[in-house]
Amino acid sequence: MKKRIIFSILFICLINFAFSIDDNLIKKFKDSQTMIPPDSYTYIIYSSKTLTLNQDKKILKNEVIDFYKIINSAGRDMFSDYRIRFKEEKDKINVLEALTLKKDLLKIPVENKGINTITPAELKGASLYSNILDKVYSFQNVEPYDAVFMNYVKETPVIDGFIASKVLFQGENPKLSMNFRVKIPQNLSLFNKLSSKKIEQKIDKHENYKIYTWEMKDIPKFKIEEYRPPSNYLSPYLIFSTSKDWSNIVTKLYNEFHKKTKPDSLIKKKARELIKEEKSDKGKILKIYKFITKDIKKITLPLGQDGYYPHKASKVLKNFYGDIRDKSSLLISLLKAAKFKPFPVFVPDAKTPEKELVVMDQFKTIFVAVPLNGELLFINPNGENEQLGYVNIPEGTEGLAIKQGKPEWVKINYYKNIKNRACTEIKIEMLQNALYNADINVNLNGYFDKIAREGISLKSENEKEKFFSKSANVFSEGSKSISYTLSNLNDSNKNVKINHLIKGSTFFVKQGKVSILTLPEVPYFFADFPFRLSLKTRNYPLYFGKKFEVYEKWNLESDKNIKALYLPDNLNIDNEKYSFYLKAKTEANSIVIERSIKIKTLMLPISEYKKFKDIFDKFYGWKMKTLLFEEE
Amino acid sequence: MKRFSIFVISIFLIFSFLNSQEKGNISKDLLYKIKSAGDSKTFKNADAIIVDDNVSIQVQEDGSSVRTDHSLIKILTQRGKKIFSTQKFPYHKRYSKVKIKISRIIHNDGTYISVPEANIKDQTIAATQQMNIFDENFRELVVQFSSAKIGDTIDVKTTVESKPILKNNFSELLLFQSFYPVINTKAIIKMPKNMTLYSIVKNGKMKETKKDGTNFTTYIWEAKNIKALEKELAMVSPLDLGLKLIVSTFKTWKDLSKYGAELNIGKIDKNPEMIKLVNSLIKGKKDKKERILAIFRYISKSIRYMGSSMDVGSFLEPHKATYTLEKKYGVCRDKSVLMISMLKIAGIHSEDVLINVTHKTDIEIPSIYFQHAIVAVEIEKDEFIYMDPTLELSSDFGESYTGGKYVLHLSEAGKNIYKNKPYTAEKSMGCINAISEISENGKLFSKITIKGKGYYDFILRQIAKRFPGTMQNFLFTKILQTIQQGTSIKKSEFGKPEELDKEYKINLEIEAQNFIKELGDFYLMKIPEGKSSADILLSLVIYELTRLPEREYPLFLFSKSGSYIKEEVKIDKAYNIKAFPDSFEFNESPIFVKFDVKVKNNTIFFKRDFKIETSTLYPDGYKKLKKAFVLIDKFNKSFVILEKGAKK
Repeated sequence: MKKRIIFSILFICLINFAFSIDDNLIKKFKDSQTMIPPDSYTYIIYSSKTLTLNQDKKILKNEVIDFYKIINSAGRDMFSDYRIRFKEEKDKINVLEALTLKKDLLKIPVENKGINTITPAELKGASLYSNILDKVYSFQNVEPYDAVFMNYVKETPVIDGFIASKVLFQGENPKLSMNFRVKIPQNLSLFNKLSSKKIEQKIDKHENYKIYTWEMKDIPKFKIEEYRPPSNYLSPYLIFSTSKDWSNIVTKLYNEFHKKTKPDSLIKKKARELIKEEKSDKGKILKIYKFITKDIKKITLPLGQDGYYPHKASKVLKNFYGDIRDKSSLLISLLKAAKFKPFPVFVPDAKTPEKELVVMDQFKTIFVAVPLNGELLFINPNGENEQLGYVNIPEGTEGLAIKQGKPEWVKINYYKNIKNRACTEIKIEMLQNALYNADINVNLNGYFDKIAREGISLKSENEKEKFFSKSANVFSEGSKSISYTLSNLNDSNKNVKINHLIKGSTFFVKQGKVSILTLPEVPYFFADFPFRLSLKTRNYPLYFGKKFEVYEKWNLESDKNIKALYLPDNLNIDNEKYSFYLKAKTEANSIVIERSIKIKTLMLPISEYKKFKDIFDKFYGWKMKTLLFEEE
Repeated sequence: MKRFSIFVISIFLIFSFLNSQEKGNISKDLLYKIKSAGDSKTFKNADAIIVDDNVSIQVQEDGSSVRTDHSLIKILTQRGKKIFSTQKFPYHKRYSKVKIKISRIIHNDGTYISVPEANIKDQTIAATQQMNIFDENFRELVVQFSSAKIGDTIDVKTTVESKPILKNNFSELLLFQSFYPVINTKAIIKMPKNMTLYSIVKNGKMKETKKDGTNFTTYIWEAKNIKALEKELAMVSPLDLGLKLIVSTFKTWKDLSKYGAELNIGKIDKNPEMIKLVNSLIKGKKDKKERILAIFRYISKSIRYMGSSMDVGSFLEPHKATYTLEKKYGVCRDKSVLMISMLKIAGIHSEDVLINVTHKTDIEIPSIYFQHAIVAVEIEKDEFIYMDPTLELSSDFGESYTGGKYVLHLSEAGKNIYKNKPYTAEKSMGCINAISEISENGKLFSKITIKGKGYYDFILRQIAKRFPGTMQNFLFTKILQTIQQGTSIKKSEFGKPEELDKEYKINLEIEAQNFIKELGDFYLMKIPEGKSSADILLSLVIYELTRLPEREYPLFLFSKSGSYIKEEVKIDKAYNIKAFPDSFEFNESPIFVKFDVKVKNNTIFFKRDFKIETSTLYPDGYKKLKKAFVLIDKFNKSFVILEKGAKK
């Protein structure tokens, strides 16, 4: 007992000695007055994390210092409350210093009543995860140009001395200096990989520890840009791990999932109830998928924050809620009870995962794979609004299969013929005095099907009516929605189809003898091209995140003969990354226009943006959508 | 549901867990009641049916109370399941005790299952976290009815024992109508005989009964088959539409005004630091308005809106002004009291005022249900201007949103509630000026200036705050694509939103290639600002809120407002203007729209006025707005037709 107390005192002294706000940091704060970036919320003067694995390899100490200047009042609103997430029964938090450094260098510690322990909003009501809490430090006195200083240590238990992580050095706010240290016992190996030479690496030895330090200075913030690739594509990063061999972790995950998903009587009963009367394999999977996505409440707990092992499937079934691990667990168990052979697949945050080093925090979610008709059917347990067979990630992403035996990476593809495609056919009947009737047919698949379901599946009949009335009004001001039919949005086996009849006036205008018609946009957000580009030049690649196609066909008919004075020029640009297509033709009393865009790549390099943008501007400019005609 | 009143006044609970998951059968009568309430065929658009919504409150002379709520909610849809399978009971640890008497799921065959202990969780409130309030004592008890299925009924009964919120008084607002049909609802209030209860039922009818007992009088209100309100984008508060009951022991507003003023006694204080600060702020400012604004802007900017200061009766009782000044944070009551104290040092009289911002004030019964505290500053004898120091970026002298709204001054002598004089939209107008040129090769170059007054200025500053530096440039590039796809900003200059004493202005220089387009034998172009692209209010706010062809409920716009656009478009002499869109005017109160196009010396003079003279647009006013939009749409579909060289 006595020994422990002495150790604690020493530990605190060391920490204080090492990290309390010192003159050097204060000098940096003073110097930073002249280099305030105008379009940021905060300026991170110093950010430091030190992971120390103790000699018995059971406890990991994470020593954190964050020292940042608030630049404006929006920054104050966003960054004056500091949250530390922790697991109540496992983690120990020791806050060494939490203070506001005023412009005049006055130090004001956070008051006691500004320190609160709260339940994270996303975990409200989920008792299963009630061990996860946020400690919030509210820096009440901070104003623009003051700084926040936070220094704490979090102790977490680790298993078998395994530590690993992916650390991004760049973010949404500029940093003067960031360092990351790992201290491990001498007899342990640490493997690492750096994505950029700008990250400096240093390895020291001290007593029984090897100390790795990675540092980067003067790190600009990401520039604000539409359709920017995710930060893990852009930021310099460090990946480190004490292991290169996935076998151990895959085996452990397999054993855990295997144990927790073994169907017991409750699961078997539920599975029987769900698939009764279903004869086809797909039909059975659909029933189970529907139950998991609709009846088991989704809890948004980032994968890894509560570990990677799931709770027992029957416990999830009793609770009727779960995070992605637990919904996967229940889904696998029910599928097993229905005689399928499902397995979990850990899905990384990039299309190509980091395979060389064992790093779990690169995985953002879990899908369940089921062999069906010679293919793997991937199921997202949170895919409440997804067609069965579609998962909302780029096709071809490699995931880690959790199966018995050697670790295996599998390519995640959509099932059978599912593609991201929106097809809209609009038939317009042009009547006297610019009155019109429109008959619109929409056929959606993949991503477009998903956003349509998200947008309308929960609406009541009245709300759907209003949605289509609003769409008619978006199509042309003052128009009325006459009727609509919607396919069954609860049927995950069939894609979304819509028929909508609209009528209205002023579809085109007459100026002198000439009638001018500019085609409106497809009035449904889920059937339109999902990107609107505005930037002339870019700093980063244009990120589509998916391959897709948007197709429109317009058939404009008049009861009189139409003399076209101008039709948009035909266009056909097709290369390996995208295609733009437009064809306009006239017949006796009708004009037919077909337009489509196909995106065949996930990301367009900066060097190819200008050409793409010029075509895009032309394609979406009013000239390519405007017709001039005379009616006889 | 009646949770509203619980939340507003922070009635505080402690919970008791049910020990085990009990199963059984409900009585035949209850099953009949649930079955006969209806289903998804009877109520096609409902997500749930509120079969029963009953509340019973027993009040003591000191103002303390015991309240019992009992609800039966029948789930009809997937969304209904999402909404009602989690029931939340907000409370404050120090003030109340709650007991959950019943929490069970009744299946449609008459069997029931109680909620297991694991599904009841006591936790901090998420909603207050969004307001920077992290007080651990602000809590909610969350009951998860997670196994509830469509067709099941949620049965939940709670009792709440509360300390007095109002000493020796009682005031309550109960809303009986929501977005779900209610079959039966009943409110019972049992008052000590010597306390008189004033009441009113609004937005519908209820059967009222009064029973006299030995020591208590029992009041009962009942209603059946209340139809559901329907959700509509930006609709006014359900409090303005739904069946509600307001009760209070205050006879007059004067009494409530006096009561409120008593809570401020000792709070409007000063110390040498405050005096020094006030003197430095008003130094050299001889004009009263300047002195008021100097103090107001200091508080707006330097005192953070934050609720970690919450403690005893904080919703009603503010902190001392000196405390708020020292801590540099507070809620609206604290910021108002500080402003009153600082104005007092400057020799300016002001009063603490309560106001409702997003719903109407029911003046028939003096009740404590106010959303916000502001300050009435006396500018002439008995003439007040209403200022809101909680708004961080209000540059105006007097908030336009207070126009035409009821205000209650807290005064030791007592004051009646009254309606503030209305302001016109003119107080909150945006002003967009553009000078544009189109060169021989058809390129557009425009210099645009955007500024505004009142509410418009507030919106511009809010955008600037949220999108500092180049972020705002990016935002405007996005917005200006409606001028033409591919429009780019060549140069921009944005004011500093925090400089409240300076006019906030945005200067943009924009460019668009091929603005004049050759379509066969024709050359066509749009009037660059014809679509009101740079008018944030119309293009980003009003337009987005008005896509429905008609509305059932009023549209809440917060303030009267509008904008002017003036643009001169000089076209290179290589082109001749042959035709241009027709001018029009639409003037049907409260909507005024004018589009005016004139051409002289190959220059287009475009003027556009747009005003909405109401902060709440009722369905008939909305129809007028939509009529105006049809005319605007026609204008936008029209082109300027040009002639070039030998072409015709």
